[in-house]
Amino acid sequence: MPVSREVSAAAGRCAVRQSSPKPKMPSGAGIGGSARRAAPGSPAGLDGHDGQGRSARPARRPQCLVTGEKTFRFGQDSDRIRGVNPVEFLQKICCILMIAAAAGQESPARRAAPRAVVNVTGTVIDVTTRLPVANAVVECGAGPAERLDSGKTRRVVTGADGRFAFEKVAQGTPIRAWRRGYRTADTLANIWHGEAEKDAEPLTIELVALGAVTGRVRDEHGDPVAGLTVQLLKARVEHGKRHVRLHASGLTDDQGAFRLWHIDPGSYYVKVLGRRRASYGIGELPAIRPGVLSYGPAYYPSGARLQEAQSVGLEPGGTLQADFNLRGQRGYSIRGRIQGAARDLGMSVVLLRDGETTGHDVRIEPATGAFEVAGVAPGEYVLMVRTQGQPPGFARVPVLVGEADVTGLLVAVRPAPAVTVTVGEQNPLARYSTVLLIPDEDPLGDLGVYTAYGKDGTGGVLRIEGVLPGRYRVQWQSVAPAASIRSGTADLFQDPLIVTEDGCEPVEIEIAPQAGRLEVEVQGLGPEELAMVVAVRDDFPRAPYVEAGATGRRPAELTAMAPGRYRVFAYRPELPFAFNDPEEVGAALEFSAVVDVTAGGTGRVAVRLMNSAKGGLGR
Amino acid sequence: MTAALLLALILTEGQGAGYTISGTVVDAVSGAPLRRARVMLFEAESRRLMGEWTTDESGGFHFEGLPKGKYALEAEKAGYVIQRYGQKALFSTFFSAIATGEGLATEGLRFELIPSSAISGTVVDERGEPVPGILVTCYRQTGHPDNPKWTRYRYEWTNDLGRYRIHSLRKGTYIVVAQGAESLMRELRDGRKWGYAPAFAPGVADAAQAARIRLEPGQEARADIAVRESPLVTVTVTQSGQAPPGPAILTTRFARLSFLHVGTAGVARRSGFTIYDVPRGAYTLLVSSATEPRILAMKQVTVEDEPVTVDVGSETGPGAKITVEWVDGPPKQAVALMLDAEGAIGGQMTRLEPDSTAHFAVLPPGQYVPKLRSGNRDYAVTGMTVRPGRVADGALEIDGSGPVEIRLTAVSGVKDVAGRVFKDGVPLMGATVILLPRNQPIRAATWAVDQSDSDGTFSWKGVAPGEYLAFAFEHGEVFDYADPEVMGPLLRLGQPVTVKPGANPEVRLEATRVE
Repeated sequence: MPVSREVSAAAGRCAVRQSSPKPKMPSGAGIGGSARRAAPGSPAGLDGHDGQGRSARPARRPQCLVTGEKTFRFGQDSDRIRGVNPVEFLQKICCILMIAAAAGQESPARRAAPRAVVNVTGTVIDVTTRLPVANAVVECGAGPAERLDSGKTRRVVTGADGRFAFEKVAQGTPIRAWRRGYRTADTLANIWHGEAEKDAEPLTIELVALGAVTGRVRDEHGDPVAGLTVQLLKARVEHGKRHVRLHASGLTDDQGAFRLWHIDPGSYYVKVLGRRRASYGIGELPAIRPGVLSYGPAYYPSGARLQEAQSVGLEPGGTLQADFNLRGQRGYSIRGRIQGAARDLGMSVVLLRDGETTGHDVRIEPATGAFEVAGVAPGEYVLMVRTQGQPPGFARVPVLVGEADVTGLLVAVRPAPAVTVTVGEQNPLARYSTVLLIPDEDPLGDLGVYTAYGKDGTGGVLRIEGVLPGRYRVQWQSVAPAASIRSGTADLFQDPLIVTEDGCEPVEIEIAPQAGRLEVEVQGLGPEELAMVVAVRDDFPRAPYVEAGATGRRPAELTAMAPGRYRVFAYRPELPFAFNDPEEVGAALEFSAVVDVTAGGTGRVAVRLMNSAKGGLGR
Repeated sequence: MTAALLLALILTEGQGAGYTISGTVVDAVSGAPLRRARVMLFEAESRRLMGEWTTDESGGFHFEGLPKGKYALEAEKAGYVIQRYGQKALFSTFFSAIATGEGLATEGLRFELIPSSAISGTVVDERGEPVPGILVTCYRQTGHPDNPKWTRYRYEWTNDLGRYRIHSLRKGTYIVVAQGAESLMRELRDGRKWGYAPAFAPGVADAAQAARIRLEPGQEARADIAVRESPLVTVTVTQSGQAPPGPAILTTRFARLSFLHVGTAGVARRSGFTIYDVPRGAYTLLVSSATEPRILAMKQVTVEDEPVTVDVGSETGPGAKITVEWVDGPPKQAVALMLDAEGAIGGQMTRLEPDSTAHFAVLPPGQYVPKLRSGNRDYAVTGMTVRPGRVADGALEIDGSGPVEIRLTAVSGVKDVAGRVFKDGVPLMGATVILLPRNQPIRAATWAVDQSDSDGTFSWKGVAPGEYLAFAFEHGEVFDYADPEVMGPLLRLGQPVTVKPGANPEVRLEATRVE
């Protein structure tokens, strides 16, 4: 008996097709088995960014510095940020550039002097062992504005002593050090803040060794479980909210083994989930076999949900062994049809449980909207459907799976509503402002933040399209601060903006008649060390927050602040503080300082740098 | 058989309790019974799941109360690729259905699960250091062993230890090739990026010298590869100064009818399609359609040490125009025309116009077997001509020198021919049965293949009336019957069969062995 002819003809003799199976390079942290680095459940086509004015991985914009738009797509295959947390990196660069600019303004003499040209020497060391790194490639750009791969880059390879030298390097020239197995280090040739001498102080470039997470997944009988997705999740703070985001993922092979490699040291959650359909199956018998076993979600070393799980630490250059023993549960199917969605647009169907994606296989037939989720263990779930389009559509349906398949589920997709933002009395300053809608919950890890720019509004009205229903915090960034933000009767300084399926009342922003400033000195910070300073309103927990950077030498300048009483925190950029999280704010109160900002005045306050053991990602 | 047992049998039969399919699941290599194998029983035609059984340590399974008919058995077990009863090799497209009925033996079956194989190894650079992020692809040998073709099979990347493992492979002979560059920044030397040129295990550029890895079921083989450095450049593809209509890839032929795809990533921009990390070499650039298997443009490109921009121009050719003449009138359904690539980079497919013509913008040189299909029904191509070019062994040989005109003769009224295989008078299961047109080139698309079911029956579909040679190969390993070099010596084993336009009697074949 033959399998269907289509299959036999298709085997092996397909036309040239870039998509099949054009291997996608494993970007960022490498992966054993098949390589993927995408947020699970990201809607087909809505590949993590750029809907209508909506950025997936928002750039941080310290209040005092206009850097221009920078949106770093998570997992973007860019050499420049490979191996570096994009948000942290951008913070660092913003600070560095800002400090450089500030330093340049420090003395009139310096401001007048031309860019110094110095001889740069230095050593590349391993930050953990403090030993020199041999065979590291150190690249020096052609000049301050030149990209490192411009072809005019100078390059040396360090010997056993880890030393490198470049002659006649202009201040501000990028210098990069990299070596296989380490996180690439980027720096600028003016960190030392020395006088313009011919020979600069020697530079020490610290490289962080990357590690690996490996393990085996077995079932309750000790048999290997193949084809499961393994994920490394890392807690990140974005817009003051702590999220757990996908850092790397892979698959278990036929022996149940997996290896995720070139992972930055840090704390991660290791999670196993789903039951990927064996892509090596055969033809025309039902592709989703009934009664398939479902495994996970499970965290290492224990826990089925994020709330129960602990993160595990990966040392620089270390290997974390994470073995799993899972009990297979009989899985059932959820079958249904999606209505109301345009058929030819991208559509994604994701199953959630306890606010997390379950990683189940979903098959969708675009022509009819029929879908099937396979291998679902009994329990309570939420089915979330998102479609592309103008505006995007969505549906959220609770599903209860018992000891049988769920069939005939009709899911009606509705267009996601728009949110209107009006800025009081057509204030011309509204053009130089940004409105952010920061979601309170982001279960798929890819919602990001809705962003609208004042310059895109007409007559003082901004429109943000396709906002998924949920609760949001409205953040206003402008040269003119907000005296109040309301939506209908809700005071958005206190309460969340609740967007329902029908949308919400227009968000009304009243501009304060006069702004104040704040200078914050950070104590416990070395002269060249960087810190981030954030000011929040105690009495109005959801009022816009203001941020800026500081060094030990130079206090932070927070401008365009609405008059009122603020609580100020200072933290290291590499240990972000979730100032949007009431619990974390409550725990860090002892490190804060309270100050009043008056209209037209400049407040001054000193605050202690947050201890790295408290707050930040040290937990 | 004792009287008591005979009585029991008669009683159960009398109650109409249905038929039984039962047996034991064993490992095909060791013969050991397998526990925790999930055995599923499907109705062969309707694909409906009839039952499920998870074996214990005896490996036994048992389904009863089945109506008369044909069934497919499928088993899934941790550590094995899912497979069907009677399947000769992993991922084979044929298996044997089990026919239940009076006098048919369907109990005590031996369901052999073929273990899969794997190839693993380490990729090292010229300094002997392991290289992460390298793409390793394995190619499987097809065709006659003396003149093999290598068909692209599976791929993996090396990890931070430079190790790769390609698993779930079927038995056969393989070669592996490593190519690409690390996902880390490419070494920048002399202002150029450097990476690695394709290298076949153990580290040679010529596929003829590549190590042949012979895999038996359940075997783990090792193949380390030493890669050689090469500068990497960017190749940008445009069409008349603008972005091409679809993705582009570079290919290079490395053996008879075998190609490597080169350049691991391509990005479409408004200015053109850019392919990154291309090592030195002479390539054939192909631009394909973004939505369907069609090649839109082709050009030869030589890459040295500098980035290259290639404009494929406004003329895309050399193309092909195909006209189909239906001997008994065109079919009512829409017909797809496929050119299966034998010695070319990739096959293409298009729909026949209502006037039974079709057009391909680009037909790269190679050998193609034309096929006409509606749904899952094939039509018989009984004749073909090509100008310029030639027909060799039932395939069109295109040299790419200019636009071609192809004429096909086809028969829309085709038949299904049923038959039964016997060995020494007893119906034989699992024989590979082949029907080839007599006195015509072997690779004309009128050959039909099937595998006999447990009652010895088989069915050839889509056969045009005419004269044929029929073959029934016992222990029919899946072999390349479509390759004339393989099949040619076996022609003497064929039995003449005539397929008439009207009703055809059941074809009775005697099984022979493949030498």
